[in-house]
Amino acid sequence: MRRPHRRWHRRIWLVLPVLLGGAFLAALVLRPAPPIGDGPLVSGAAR
Amino acid sequence: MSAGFRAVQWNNHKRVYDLALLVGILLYLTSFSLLAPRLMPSDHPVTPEILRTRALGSCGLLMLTLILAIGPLARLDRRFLPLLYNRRHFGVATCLVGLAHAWSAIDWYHGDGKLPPLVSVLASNPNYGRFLGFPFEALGLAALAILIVMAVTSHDFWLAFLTPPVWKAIHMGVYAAFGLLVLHVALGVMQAERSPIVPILLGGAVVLVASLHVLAARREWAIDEGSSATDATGWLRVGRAEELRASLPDGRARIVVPPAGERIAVFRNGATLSALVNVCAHQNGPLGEGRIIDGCVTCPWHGFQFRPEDGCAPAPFTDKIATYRLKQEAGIVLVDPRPLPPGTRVEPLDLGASHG
Repeated sequence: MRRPHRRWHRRIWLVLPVLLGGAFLAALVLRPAPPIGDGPLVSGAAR
Repeated sequence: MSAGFRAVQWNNHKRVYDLALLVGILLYLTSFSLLAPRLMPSDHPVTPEILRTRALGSCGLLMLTLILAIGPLARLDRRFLPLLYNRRHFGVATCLVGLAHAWSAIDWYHGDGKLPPLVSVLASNPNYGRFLGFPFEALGLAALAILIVMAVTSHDFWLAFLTPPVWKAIHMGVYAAFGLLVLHVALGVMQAERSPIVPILLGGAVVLVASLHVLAARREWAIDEGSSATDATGWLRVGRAEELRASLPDGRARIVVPPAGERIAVFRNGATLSALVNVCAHQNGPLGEGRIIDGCVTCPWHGFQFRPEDGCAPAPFTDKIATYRLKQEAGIVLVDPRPLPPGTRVEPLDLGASHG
């Protein structure tokens, strides 16, 4: 395996999961009340 | 390892693996279709088409999660190495499941509109500036595009054509695809359904992938922290010849860590030692964790082979890796951390000899 020679190579693997986890938690916490009808899955769709 | 290229390199192991993969996918899709309506009651009517779409989508995300877990698991425990060997077929299968999910969703939600279905997916919800309400379908399409590029270039022909560094960089896109898919689900079905199962499974996937990678990375960092000691001329200490004779098994390597540059794998081949770069020419596999088979250092990832004395793959193969000079002084084996050009022959060091 190649060694991570640049410092950001190491840091990025800590930063990215934190960002992804943060986005997931934000989406979870900010979930709206139960939608009416078919909800966002069909928003803007033809059906 | 092969001298030429075939469309798909199947052998009995891979046939069994692919069959198990296919059976696993079909079992999952069937189980999901039967269990999901009971375990995850929906606030909305779930048609067979929606159920089919969700079964395929969750199957694809599960497969991608498993694929991303295989790499660090193989770093942490050698028993997972066979999974790594077959990971490429797993990836292509994931892409096919993703395509089926996309077709199912687009056909159901966008198939009957005035706009062409793909345009409808990207244009029917213009809320690209919002977090909640973001057109999550675009995230899924972006992830699918990455998976398609990876599947199309997965063959060793493309590895040779693009060169390993470029190929590896393209295939690191799998992490971007995973992140996009997590957001695709978090901003899509997780917003539409109140069942706790979706966030639990999705969060579990993120935590599993992230924690396995951090654990594997910590193991690698721990190795790199302990740079090997150097002598006055900058050569690195491998160990005492007597101790190497006693504790280094035949055909195995001791990893030496220079302050800069790649790790060095010092292999014992009977009564001699040879030093090679620890990075396989194929996919950067850790050569030093492999062993010597039929006189050749064999990469633990995909079985690529190199002669210990010159770093050349045996004929008819043409791959080469860097070699290093070894010497023994006062019973101490030392390695020169400056790599020699790939394919340079270095006389193996006799473990019994003592010379400067």
